[in-house]
Amino acid sequence: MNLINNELFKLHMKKRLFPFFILNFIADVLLISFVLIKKDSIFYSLINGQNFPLFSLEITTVFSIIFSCMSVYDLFIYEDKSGTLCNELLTPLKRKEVVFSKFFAIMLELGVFFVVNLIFSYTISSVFLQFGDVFSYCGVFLPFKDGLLKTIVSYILILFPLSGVTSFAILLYFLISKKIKYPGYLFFMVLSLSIMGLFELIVSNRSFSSWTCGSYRNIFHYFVLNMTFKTILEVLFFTVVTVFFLFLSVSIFKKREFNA
Amino acid sequence: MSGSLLVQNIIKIRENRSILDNISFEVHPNESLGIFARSGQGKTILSKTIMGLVKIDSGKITINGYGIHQNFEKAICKTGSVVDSPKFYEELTAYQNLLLTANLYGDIPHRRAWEMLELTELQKNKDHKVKSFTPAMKYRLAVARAMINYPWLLILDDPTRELDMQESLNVSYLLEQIRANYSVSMLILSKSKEFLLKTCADMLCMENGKVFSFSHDKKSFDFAEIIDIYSVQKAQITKILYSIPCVSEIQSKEFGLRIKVEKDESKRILDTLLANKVNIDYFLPSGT
Repeated sequence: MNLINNELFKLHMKKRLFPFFILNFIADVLLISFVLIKKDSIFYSLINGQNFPLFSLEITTVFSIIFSCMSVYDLFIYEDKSGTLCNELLTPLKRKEVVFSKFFAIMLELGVFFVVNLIFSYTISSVFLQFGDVFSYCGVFLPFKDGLLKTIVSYILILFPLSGVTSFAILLYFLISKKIKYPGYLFFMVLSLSIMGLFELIVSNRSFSSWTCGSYRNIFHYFVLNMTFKTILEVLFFTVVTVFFLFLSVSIFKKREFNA
Repeated sequence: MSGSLLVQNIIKIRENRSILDNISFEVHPNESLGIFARSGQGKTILSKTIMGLVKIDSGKITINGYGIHQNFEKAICKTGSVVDSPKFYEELTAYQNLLLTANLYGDIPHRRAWEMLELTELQKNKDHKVKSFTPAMKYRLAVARAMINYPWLLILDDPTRELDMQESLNVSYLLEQIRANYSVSMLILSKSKEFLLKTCADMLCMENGKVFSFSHDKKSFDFAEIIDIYSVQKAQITKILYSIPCVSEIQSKEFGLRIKVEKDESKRILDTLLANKVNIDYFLPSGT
């Protein structure tokens, strides 16, 4: 726990999350403003105070992907470049512990981001939008309690694909660090987000979904709307992917020498 | 054994060249061993190898009785080190940097960080960001960090790397203080012969990845001469002499000081003392 605290402290000092709070806030306000102004649009009938947090979650997820890549840069590449990663290895820590503590710190930060966004989106949507008779989302209609539960569970479930994204960014760093010792910030961000985008395109035609707007939307809607056996499969899939990526990263890290 | 280091026949080959060539030496508990090597002779890679950052092709490294590759955690938990030039979280304060390191060990109380700041005389800079520190302050902070886990063994790689004479002298004082107050064995690798002579009881030399015993390289230390300085201002003169690199030994005598210096350096020493306006009754080379 001490190790995760250390990493959380470093992330906190970097103040990376704060701009995302602001961006998410602006995005939510813009979305609400748009709904309120365009009362004749389809959005006005779709979005209400009950289901707005789910629309907001889609925006939050996009920001979270960028945030997790930035955090991987800060905790791995920047620390490697500045030599502080080397300091951690001069203590009786296993390399596995170093990688996992950084990963869990990023996931905890994402968790905080989600909780704040959930509370905030419920609050502003309750104030500015009509609360609505029922929870409605992508053609599914539910009573308030079920809708609220679905929203909270969606916020939790979406952390699983995000853990896959974070672990992939970590693995990507270890893979490219064999060729490029200290990849630049812009290079790493463009590369990681591009590969994730490509992955998104490749898997967008998965058989279990009939949605046409890409795998990200598929996964999202799938979690939200069909919390059944297949949801468990999705969670298991991303858990296995995360663990596999992390252990692959650790095995590369173990072989790494910190030469003069 | 507490505070012991045993290096046995270690070999490291890179690009078909032996960087570390069958190196063996031992640091006994509460002893200080210096390894003198010029730049590029393998000091940093040796210290990194001992700390497990670089893998060896053959040989064995044992710290406090535990093999570094077999039982890394136990070998390292009572070892402090400063390898390469010290690196910190520059945006954080000195105290925060120490706390981050203390947290990595799990059971270190936070007051230890404060104690180490006092030891290295950085308590006034506790809340200053490390980026504002001079190289000398950074080095002292690195020593504080290396001492935070109550180590039995301290490994210091080129302490004088970025320091001037006076700062090197301060680090030398600090290490003496540590040795006097804590039971710490030391391995110091440096390119400053004078620094090692002042701080270490035993010395080895390293060249082209090989380590020689002191006697093999004795010729480089043999041409010293003795000078007796008759003066009542012993403390003031001692302070000045410590900042002169060619002075290898200072002994306090009834008449003043007896010093050991490199040959043909006596004039330079006299000039330095006179420039500092100290009162000298006699300055007698060769102990005459």
